[in-house]
Order: sequence, then C-alpha cells, then structure tokens
Amino acid sequence: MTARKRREAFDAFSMLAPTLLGLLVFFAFPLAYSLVLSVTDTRLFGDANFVGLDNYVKALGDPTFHRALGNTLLFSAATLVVSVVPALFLAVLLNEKLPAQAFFRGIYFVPVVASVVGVSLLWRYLLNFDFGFINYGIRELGKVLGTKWEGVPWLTNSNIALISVILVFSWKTIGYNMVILLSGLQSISKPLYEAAAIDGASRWQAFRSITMPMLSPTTFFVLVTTLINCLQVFDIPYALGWTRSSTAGPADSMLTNSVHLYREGFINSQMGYASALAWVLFAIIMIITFVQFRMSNRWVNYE
Amino acid sequence: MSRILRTPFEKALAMVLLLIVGLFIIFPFIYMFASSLKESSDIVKVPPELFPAAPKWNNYAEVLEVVPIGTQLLNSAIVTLGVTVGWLLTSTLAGYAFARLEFPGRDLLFSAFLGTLMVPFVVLIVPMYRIMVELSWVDKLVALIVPWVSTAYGTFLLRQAFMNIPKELEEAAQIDGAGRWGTLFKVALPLVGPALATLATLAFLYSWNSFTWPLIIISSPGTKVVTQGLMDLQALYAGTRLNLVLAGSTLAVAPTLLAYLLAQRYFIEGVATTGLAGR
Repeated sequence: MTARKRREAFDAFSMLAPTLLGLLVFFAFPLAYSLVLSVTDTRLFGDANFVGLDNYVKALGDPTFHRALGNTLLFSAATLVVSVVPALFLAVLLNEKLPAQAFFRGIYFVPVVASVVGVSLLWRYLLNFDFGFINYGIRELGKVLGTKWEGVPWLTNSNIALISVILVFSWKTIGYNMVILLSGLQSISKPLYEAAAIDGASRWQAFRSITMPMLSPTTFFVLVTTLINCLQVFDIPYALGWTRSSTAGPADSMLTNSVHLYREGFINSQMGYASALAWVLFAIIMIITFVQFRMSNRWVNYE
Repeated sequence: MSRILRTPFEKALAMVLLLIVGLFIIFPFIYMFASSLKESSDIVKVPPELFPAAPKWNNYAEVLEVVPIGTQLLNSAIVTLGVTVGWLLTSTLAGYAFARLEFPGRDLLFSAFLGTLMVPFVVLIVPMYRIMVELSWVDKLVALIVPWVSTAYGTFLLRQAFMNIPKELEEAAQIDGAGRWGTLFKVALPLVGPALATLATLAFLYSWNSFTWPLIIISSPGTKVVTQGLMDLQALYAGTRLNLVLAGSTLAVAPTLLAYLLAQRYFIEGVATTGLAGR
C-alpha cells in the first residue's frame, strides 16, 4: 500500500470508528452473547449452568409458546390482509387525479407518527364495551337496521381480543403501506397505459396487465416488511392487553411471541429460556421470509 | 387514458370513500383531545358524547401534578436529542467513508452493516440488559442513548446522499488544498441537508416513541420516559380518571404530531425510504 492509500484507509476507519465501535459493543457482542445465554439456565441473579439444548427442547414442548406462536401467526396473517389490501385500494384511488390528494395522503399518515403506547391507550377506551364509540356506532347501526345489537366485547372476550390488536395495528400502519404503494404506482410509466388504450384495453384489463405486474415489486416489499414487523409485534398487544397479573389480554389471548419472551425473561427471570425463545422466533422469521422470497418469482415482476 | 375513474360520478364516489376512511383514521385523535378536556364522568357516559360541555383545561395541570409526567416528557426530550445528534454525527462520518473513501474490506463491511438490519431486536434484548448491568447503566438515561447512536440505517441513508452529489465539487476543493475532513464538513455536508433532515426526523420519531427498551431498563418514576409514564398513568387511573389518562396521552402524542404538521415531507420521505417507522 502506498502512503497515500494508507492515509486514506486511516481516515476512513477514523470516520467509521464511532459507528463500528457502537455496532461491535451493542450489536455484534450481544448477538453472540444471546446465543451463549440460550444454552444456559441464566436467571436475573445468581450463577448459571450450561444446559445444552434444553431451553430449545423446552420451548418446542411449551404450551404457552405454542399459544403465543399461534396468536402471532394468526395476527400476522390477518394483518397482512387487513392492512395491505385497504392500503393498496387507497393508493390506487389517490393515484387518480382527484382534488385534495396530498391532504388525504397527509391524513392517512398521521397514525404512523403517533406514539404506539399513546394511541393504544385511547383505543382501549374507543373499544370499551359500555362507553366506547365503536360499540355505540354498532348499536346505532343496529337500530337503523331494526335489530338489537349489543355491541362487541372487543377487549374482554378471549376469542375477540386478538381481533382488536389486528384492527389497531392495521389502523396504525395502513398509511405507511399506502405511501409506499402510492410511490410505486407513481413510478409506473405513463406510455404503457397509452399503448394499452390504443390497443383498446379496458381499464380493468389495463389494471390487471399493467398496474398489478408493474407494482408487484413494491407490493412484495410491503408484504415482506409488514410480515416481519407483525411477527415481532410487542407494544400494541402489551399496551392494549397487559394486566397486573402479567397476562396479555383475557386468558393470554393477546400473547404474542415477543410478549411471551418479555414475560419469561424479565418477569419470570428465565433469561436463558427467553434467549432461546428469541432465537426460535428469529428462525421462524427467517424461514417465513425465505419462503416469501422463493414464492416471489412466481408473481413478482423483476425487470 | 390510464385512469380507473372516468365519470364524475365515480370520482365523487371515490371522494366520499376517501373522506370516510380519513374520518375513521383521524377520529381517535379527535376523541383523545376532546375527552382530555372532559369531566371523567362524561367520558363514560352512555350514549357517548364527543365534545365536552365546558372544556376543562385544568386536566392538564392536574395530570402534571399527580404523576411525574412533566419530568418524563423532559426525559424523553433529552433521550430524543441525544439519539438524534448521535445519529447525525455517526451516520455522516460513516456514510461519507463508505461513499467516498477507499479502504480494504469496504464492500464486505458495508454488507455486514446491512446485515444488522435483519436481526430482530428481541434477539438482543436479554444480552443487552446484562451488558447494561455490567456497565451500571440500569435505570439511567444513558442506557437509552449511547447504545442507539450507531445506526446502519443512517449510514446507509447518508452514503446514498453523498454518492448522489457530483464528485467534481469535492475534487475541486481538494485541489484547493482542503483535506479529507475539510472537504467532508465544508463541501459535502452542506449538500446533503435534505438527507440529514430526513434522518433527524426518523431519529426523533424512533426515540420519542420508543417503549420496549425503556420498559426493560428504566424503573424509577423520575427516570422513566413518557411512553412508560403513560402505562403507569393507565394503571393508576384507568378505573377512575380517564380524562387524566387521555390528557397524558395527548401530551405524549402531540410533539410528533406537531412536528409532522410542520415537516410532513421529511416524515413521509424518511419513512418511505427506510421503512423504519413500521416498528
């Protein structure tokens, strides 16, 4: 290496030093440490012993883990539909030349910037069985239709509580997905549509054969990121459902994998077990993401 | 014609739909603010009323008095400022090094940086807690700042921004005798203002709204951040004083909402380019 090159490399590493140091101490080291913890019986205090793969074996047979995984998968699958489909619909409408387009885009995005905890608390009241506005709306609708609707026990019924998490999460993320899909729509070149129009294609044909395939990389991005975020969801179920007896929602119906991990690690002090749970969740996320990528070449149009 | 909506009727129908969805999306915020000005008994009234008969601004004074949410707002502000300044500094330096300087292992190192984005936070949470114990940072604000100032996202964002400015400008400065650091701070940095604004916006959102990590590491009421304070407020007053809980929520949500109103562009751009706020 010449002196000049050496000098350049020295400057480069000086510039990188703060970031590198931070990522080594607060990312790379804990990543490796986490793997070590996961094969021990580490607790909040006291000595730890090597226990081999016991924690992983325990996780796979733990009914609470199964419960959390079931909740998380159900939540994620439903949220993909409830958040992404309306986002796509709104993006398509906003891509039309309508008045106040920027205004609507701005409004839909508001929940994205608001504190998750703050909005979850207010949703607790909106979803309240007795005085919540949502049930008020349902009862009024019932009256209009001439039937008596009691309202829905959104947060108190263990079969329904997870639906509330899905609704609040979707409400919070629709604007985000809509913005990304809209920018995808706006980058589709206009001449494609003009050519289709000359060929006599109807608007639905144009939508199916131009918009959908041209948008598919963006749709794919939205699906992958939404799913990854869903599989890790912590704060909405926690803020909506955490109780003093450390359950998440009625009968743990809002228990997701991240909330389960938090409870094992920091309430029950099972830090080794919680680390193993984290790696199992990581593996599940990797597998699902991998499958999504493998399936993507069937429907995503890469130029 | 590429448009899906063609007749005026279809367009009107679409407008109505957009309006209804907009109302549904914004209504919770109206409810939150309106209820924060009510008597508690008016919030639980059946059938519910949206607006208070007489606005009770005193709820805000009261919530600041009964829980240390004023201190907690200040703690959140300190953490947010620290993280934001940290992000801007570390990402500028690292982003510039990746964009403009040549050094052995650059591409490999950059891939490793991007790789960090794939690891879910839950994998790091237990070991991070133990590291904080070793550093004696448990229950201190420093634990909410220092571990988070290095960011692969920021490095990536600033690298892109530096790569997009014409190299000739920097070369001219170097011919004029400016060193590498001088070139970075005097020539390149002023040209990436929008990227810095986007990054600052993201750092602000991310740290102001953060909850999971503070929940684990901070336990004293006077050291907690505002998102934790809200959960305490809920636990204390959910049964009796909903108006105070909602006044607290309004205080916690207002800063990001106001900032969003003022700088919408950077919020939407920042979020759309990095996908960070999805967390």
